[in-house]
Amino acid sequence: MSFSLYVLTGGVIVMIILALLSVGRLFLGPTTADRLVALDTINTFVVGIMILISVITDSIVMVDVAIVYCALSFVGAMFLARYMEGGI
Amino acid sequence: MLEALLILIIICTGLISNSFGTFSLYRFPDVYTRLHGATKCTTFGTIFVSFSAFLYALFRFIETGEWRFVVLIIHGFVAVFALLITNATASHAIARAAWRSGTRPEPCVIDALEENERDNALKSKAAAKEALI
Repeated sequence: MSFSLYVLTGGVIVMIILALLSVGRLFLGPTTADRLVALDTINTFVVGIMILISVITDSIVMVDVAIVYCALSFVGAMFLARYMEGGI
Repeated sequence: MLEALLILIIICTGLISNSFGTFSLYRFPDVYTRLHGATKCTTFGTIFVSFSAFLYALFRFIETGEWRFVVLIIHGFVAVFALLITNATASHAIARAAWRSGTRPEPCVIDALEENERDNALKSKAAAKEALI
């Protein structure tokens, strides 16, 4: 295991800690929009974590999962925003 | 060793920017400022974190000459491009939804969106009256 792989593994650990820290705003956000912002932030972090893990564990499938996760989180965010506006 | 240093610099840029995004969720006072901080910083940071992973794959391709690392880089660029588009659009949708659900920025001096919506409502009302006549 080379040194640059250790660097990437440390990056994954830091990203996971940041994503867990963002969960706090999901629980204590005063309005629905605050929670939605926190959810969007966590989704972005998860995509980055997936790309890093795919390189570390040497599996290309994980990047495709990241693309699909990105699209699905976008659809979810748009749906929740539409629900907040009162469109549904 | 140079390779590890390069990857370290790029991933640190991304991680610092990502942590700014997380801290902005707690330090800013209302929805719009939080959205501004979180979206901008996390998009920038995640792109840099992904680029460090691609750089590692590129070095492995140069070292071993296996084409699956190039496939990984191409798929990764598709993921980053999707992230770039969807993040901006989703943040726009969230901001509009927050405005329409009644949250206003606290020291609000000029609300151009409200004037615009009022003008549009007046125009559509006038058009409806004309259609009736």
